[in-house]
Amino acid sequence: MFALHNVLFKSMSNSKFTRKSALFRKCLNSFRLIYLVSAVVFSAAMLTGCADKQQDDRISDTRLLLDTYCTIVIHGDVSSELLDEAFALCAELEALFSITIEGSDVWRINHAEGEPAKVDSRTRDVIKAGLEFGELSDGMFDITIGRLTRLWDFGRHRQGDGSSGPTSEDSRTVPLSSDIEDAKNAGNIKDLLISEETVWVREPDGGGDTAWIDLGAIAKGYIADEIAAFLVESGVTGALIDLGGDVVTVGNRPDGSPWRIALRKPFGSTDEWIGIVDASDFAVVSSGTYERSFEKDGVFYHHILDPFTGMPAETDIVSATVIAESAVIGEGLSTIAVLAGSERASEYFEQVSGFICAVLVLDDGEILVIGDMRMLTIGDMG
Amino acid sequence: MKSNKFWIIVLGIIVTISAVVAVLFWQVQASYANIYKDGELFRPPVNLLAVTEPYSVMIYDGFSSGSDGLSSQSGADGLNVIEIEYGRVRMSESNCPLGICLHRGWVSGGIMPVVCLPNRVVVTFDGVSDDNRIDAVVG
Repeated sequence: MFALHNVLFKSMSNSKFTRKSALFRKCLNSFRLIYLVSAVVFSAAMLTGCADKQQDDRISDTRLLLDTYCTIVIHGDVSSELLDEAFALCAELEALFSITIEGSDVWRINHAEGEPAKVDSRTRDVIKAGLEFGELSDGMFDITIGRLTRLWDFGRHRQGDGSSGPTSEDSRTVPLSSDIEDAKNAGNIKDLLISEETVWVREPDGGGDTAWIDLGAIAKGYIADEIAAFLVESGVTGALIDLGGDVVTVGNRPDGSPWRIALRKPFGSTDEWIGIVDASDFAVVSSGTYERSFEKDGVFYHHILDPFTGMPAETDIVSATVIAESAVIGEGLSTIAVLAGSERASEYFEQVSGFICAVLVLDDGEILVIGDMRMLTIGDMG
Repeated sequence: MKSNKFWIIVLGIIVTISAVVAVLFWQVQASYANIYKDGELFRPPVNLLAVTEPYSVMIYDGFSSGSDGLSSQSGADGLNVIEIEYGRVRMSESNCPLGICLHRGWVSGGIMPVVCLPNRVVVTFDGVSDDNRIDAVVG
């Protein structure tokens, strides 16, 4: 750009006209000065404009937590310590809610042998939220199916690369139906008592094993919401928290446009989407039958268990994505949708005020959209 | 003099009207088409630049079913069929009495929406967002 201008000036200075009078030259000089200054200012503005767009003024990090990849993006004038603190909060909450980490609140509740266990107030919050979704869904959403989830143990078969699709390892075994029956008939939500400081799983009246709590269907959402709240309290105006597919957004992207979240095509490759959500200040959460799943003897088994059968839920929904005001609502409702099927799902959605929109992918490939779909674009194939 | 002034005013009005019409019907290629029924967005905005296979959306008695496999529900009756192709849409069928919406033909953008007033179906257009990066993936 500059080179071109110099050539222009050179040819003008050398022309006969510029030599004709000193006055003219003076005029030309001042004109040249003004031109140069404005050119420099203009170019500087252009360059900084471009730089803004490319650097974007954001910091982010991805770490392996919660048995998945967690990414936090923050923009604005913040230090990287804030990122560390956010991930530390994530790890702290995981250490409370995990069913497998020894000494976690959930682990202590499950191993209290019929006695009340003293727990963190946040653990009680998650359990209470879980009970609300249980009530909403007529018991389909059940946080007391810990014995069933441990029996099936889908967590072991999470694929590390994040791509979807069932694993087909020969080592996979379907639990014995007698074991499923025992786990299913263990204690249930009725045996769960919450007081000011304790959570108590009593021994069931009719005998059998005491229930185990599993917050896996809701904990990630709660943690994502907590991290978002923490960042907002720290003065952050724009952030995206992605806990392995549970996404919460704070504000907008640095350029003022909403965060763009792609909805992956079920059983598709990693860059095939069915649509895009333009998100600002809300959560996008998916539950899919393809996530933690395996195939054995031609039968497909996935991780969303129906507490009434003890088996993977069999409905017409392959994946449910819920856009909601919080990730807890998103997780609760997307799981309930897969358990309930497309016909009943919307009646549950309607009962929750923080629900915004749902995208249900059905087993025949049809896509059903329910609710306020303004921020949704369908048809953006990677 | 008086007749000169008159003609200048007439010319001015003509120029103004043509300018307004030009602005209204000027079709800058839009990237999104929004289909409204009874004032409410009826299905997610359609990314016109991502349409690979042409398809149609039928809106009948407040229920829409698209040949792309997407269906949704809302409002009152009336029958409309909207065809969607790469970069453009048109109202191809309507049971409204005058069929004004059908005469618009293919529309690829601009600030003038495709309107079927009797059936309260409106298609508006949105521009392109300059940053199309994906920030996260769910599902």
